[in-house]
Amino acid sequence: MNEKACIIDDNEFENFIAKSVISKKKIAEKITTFSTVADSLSYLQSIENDVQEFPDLIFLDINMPVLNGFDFLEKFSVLPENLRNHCEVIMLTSSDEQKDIDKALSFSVVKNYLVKPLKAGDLDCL
Amino acid sequence: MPDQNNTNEELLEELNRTRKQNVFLSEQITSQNDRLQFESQQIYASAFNAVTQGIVISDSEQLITYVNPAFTTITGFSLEDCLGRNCRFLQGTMTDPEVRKSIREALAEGRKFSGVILNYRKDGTCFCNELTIDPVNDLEGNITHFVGITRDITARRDAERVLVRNTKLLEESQSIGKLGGWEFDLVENHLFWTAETYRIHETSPEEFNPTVDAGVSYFLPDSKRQIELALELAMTKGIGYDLELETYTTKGRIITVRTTCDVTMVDGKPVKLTGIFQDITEYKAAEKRLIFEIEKAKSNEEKFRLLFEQSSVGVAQIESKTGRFVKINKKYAQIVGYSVDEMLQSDFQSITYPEDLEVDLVNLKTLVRGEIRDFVREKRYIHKNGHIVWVDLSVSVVRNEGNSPDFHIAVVTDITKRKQAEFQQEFEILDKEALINSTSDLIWSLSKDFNLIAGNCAFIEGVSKFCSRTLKRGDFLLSNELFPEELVAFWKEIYEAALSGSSYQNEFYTPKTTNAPESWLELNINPIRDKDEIVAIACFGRDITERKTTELKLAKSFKELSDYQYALDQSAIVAVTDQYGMINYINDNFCAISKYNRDELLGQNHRIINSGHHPKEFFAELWATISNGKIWRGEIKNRTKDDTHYWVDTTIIPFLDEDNKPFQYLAIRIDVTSKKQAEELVKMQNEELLKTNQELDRFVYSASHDLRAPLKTMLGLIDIIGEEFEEDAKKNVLFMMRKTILKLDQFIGNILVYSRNSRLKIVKEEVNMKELAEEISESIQFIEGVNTIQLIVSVEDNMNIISDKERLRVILNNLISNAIKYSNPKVESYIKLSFLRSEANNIIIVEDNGIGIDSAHTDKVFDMFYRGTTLSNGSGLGLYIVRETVEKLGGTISLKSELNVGTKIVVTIPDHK
Repeated sequence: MNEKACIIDDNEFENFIAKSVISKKKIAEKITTFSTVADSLSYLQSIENDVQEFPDLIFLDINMPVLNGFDFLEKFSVLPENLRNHCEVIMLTSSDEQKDIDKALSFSVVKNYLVKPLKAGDLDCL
Repeated sequence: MPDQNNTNEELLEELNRTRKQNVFLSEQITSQNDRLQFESQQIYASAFNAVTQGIVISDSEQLITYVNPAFTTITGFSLEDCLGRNCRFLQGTMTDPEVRKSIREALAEGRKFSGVILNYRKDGTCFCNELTIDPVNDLEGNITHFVGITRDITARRDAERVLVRNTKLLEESQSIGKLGGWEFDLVENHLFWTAETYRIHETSPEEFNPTVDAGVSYFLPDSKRQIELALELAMTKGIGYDLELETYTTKGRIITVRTTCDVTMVDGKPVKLTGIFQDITEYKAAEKRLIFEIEKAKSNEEKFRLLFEQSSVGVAQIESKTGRFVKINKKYAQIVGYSVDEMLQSDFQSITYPEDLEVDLVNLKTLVRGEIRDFVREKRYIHKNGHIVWVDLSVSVVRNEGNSPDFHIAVVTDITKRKQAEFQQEFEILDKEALINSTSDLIWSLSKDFNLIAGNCAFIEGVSKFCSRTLKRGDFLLSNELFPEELVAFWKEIYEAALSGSSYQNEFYTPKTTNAPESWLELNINPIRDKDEIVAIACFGRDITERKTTELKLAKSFKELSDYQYALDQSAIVAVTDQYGMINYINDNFCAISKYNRDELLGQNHRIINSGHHPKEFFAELWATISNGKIWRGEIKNRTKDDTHYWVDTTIIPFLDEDNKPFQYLAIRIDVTSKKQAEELVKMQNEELLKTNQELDRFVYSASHDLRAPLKTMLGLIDIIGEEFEEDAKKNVLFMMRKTILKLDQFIGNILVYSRNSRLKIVKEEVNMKELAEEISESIQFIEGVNTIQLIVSVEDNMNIISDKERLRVILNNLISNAIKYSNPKVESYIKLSFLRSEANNIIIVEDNGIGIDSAHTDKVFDMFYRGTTLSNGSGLGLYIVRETVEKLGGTISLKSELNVGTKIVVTIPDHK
């Protein structure tokens, strides 16, 4: 288990919940949380040349102020391909609106769409 | 007649012979008596024996003393038988007693007796005795003897009877032949006329005693001289004559007579003239005619030659068997348009109009057979250049001494012009009659007694049909049997007016009857005058039902049309333009809606009311349609004189001329401004509704997120707390749960504020702004982080505004809590709250030195659910609610912000009076 995970949600409590569930499930040994898209993107750009440090899993909320989840996906899609291939994005949102689901899944990097609250069982498929 | 004439002549001859004999006999007897009286007895005795008359001599006692041998021959009695006997013994039962008596009386008185008596012979047979008895006296005058001379005249009597019969026959014959006779005894100067001669003179023996002088005096002067000369020659020299002369009858009629004369000579001297006298007037007339005809024939023959060569008629000699022209004159050839030479190569058949040829051929056959000698007919030739020539043709044969004719002569006259005139005339006559009878107009005339004199077919048929009986000439036209009472009265008035000399001209309506449909008659009734007197009435009637019905229909449709126009003018905006769009007519509606005077519009183009709303292409399409003769329909926005707008539903109808080119346009417009406004309103409302719907969608999306997200957070936290055993960790999770619930509650509170603002009416009250500022300052004391922030409030003295206090509080709470929430921790934070008055407005300014927002996003900060900073943990409803509330109060809000410098929000609120 050498996996690295990122959680991006403007609600600190959500980050706390997701980190708890993921760590309990022991999917990743290193979990980083971000409360703004801007912060997460800055981090990812900072480790752009270090594939070892690049997260394998990114849990991404949609509804966030200033830059939302879709803004993140658009900016993420322009990252180098080797980085993107290295990483899977899992949507973690309170929205079960179909148009949000469809839009999210239209990004090739998005591998899953999970509706809050996150449960241990939701991570089985990973 | 020649036979009849012969018989007459024979009869006449016999008559004359008989007469001559009679005269001779009577002369002999007379001379014998004379001799008996004057010659001696001896001579007598020898003479008595020789004569053929019976002589009987008796004594004074009438006893017979002598009979001569002739007496014995006549009677059969000898001298011995007779001596001593009275002559009476010859008498018998058949002897006329009257004659006996007259003999007796004559003898008793000693007179001579002469007469015819029926006596009986010795053998008992009868004979007619012409008896003369003469008494013989002595010197003293005493009767000594009676001498009787007897002659058997039975044969003569028979002859005389034949003569009488023949005379009658003769007279009849003479009457038929108008052949009379005459005889003039020169010795006795006695003229005798036969009955026919009297008749020829138109007289009778009873009326006229003919004498030579009288007879001669009747002749006409020329004839008189001739007859006088002839008679003189006849009477003096014995030369007869045979003359045809003219004479008057006793009645003054001129007749032509043939009179002849034969002279009887005795001893070289004329003693008697006899002759015939015959009326030959008719014969002469016939002869004259004959002579005239002959004369004429002669002159025709003369003329013929002239005619043939240079006449104005065409003459040709034609071979009868072949029809070939043998000889032909110029005129003939001219009539049919050929030269003489051409004609001589031709025959009549080839120039004859085919339809007329058969009759020609039939006529020619009968001519050749000798059944007719000539014929005349009108026929047609075909002229060389093709047209028809009418000719009057007369054909006669040229005979070759009794043989069948080899040739015939044809004489032709060009009668084409006459024929054409005839046809024209005939046509005109036919035409007039036909016209009168073929016309459907009624023409009739009636007498002063109102009886029908004449009527054309249309009248007779029409009226007969109307009154269900056949109308006849002479019918009384005012009869109640013909027409109903009111019609009779009507006609009576008109007819009587005509009789009094006035004309009637009018249209006359007859309502529908069982026999006839309703009808209109145009009547023209006039008196007919002979000189000054009115003698009859002439009537002319024309059925104008159709015209009248059409007129009435037309009037009705005209009325309808004007009704329509009225209706149109009342309901629509009407304009008429010429083909170039110049306004020729506008109705009042047009003026009313456009607010122009009529004078300002007439002669103008429609551009005067162009609103500029429609693009050029719109009007180009309109003109393309109507100038092609098609109707255009559409809605146009127009401009009035005072620059307002109105919408009209417009129909433009082109009026086309004969070439289907529009010569004017009729524009009918309906004011649809209110409809159009309603439409625009609906459109606007629809847009608004669409926007609202979209907002609602977004609201639902955002609201559901903001409502559910805290709940999901709660669920996640609950899951975690269930598995957490450490007390501190549990406390931490519970803290998070509490914060999450507060957030949810705050959101729901905001929603309620928003809802209240948009739903609740404004509650007006006087608000003291200083008091309000103090209330706000107190309410924010519990907001997190407020302790580090200095609140500076500045309010104008006694600033009271009329407004909704609760809404003012919502506005200020939101603005100030935002300023606290987004204060900059790196500086000494302050919030300046100012209340100012500016004219009619109250101004609220909230200014801080907080984190500010990117100026690029300042226009979005008032949108619903917009969260301008990642530091926000709100719902993004705050500023949205502020703006909504400000607008509800009729105010405005504006925001100026600079990142990391601060934000200034200015709100204006009007007083609600």
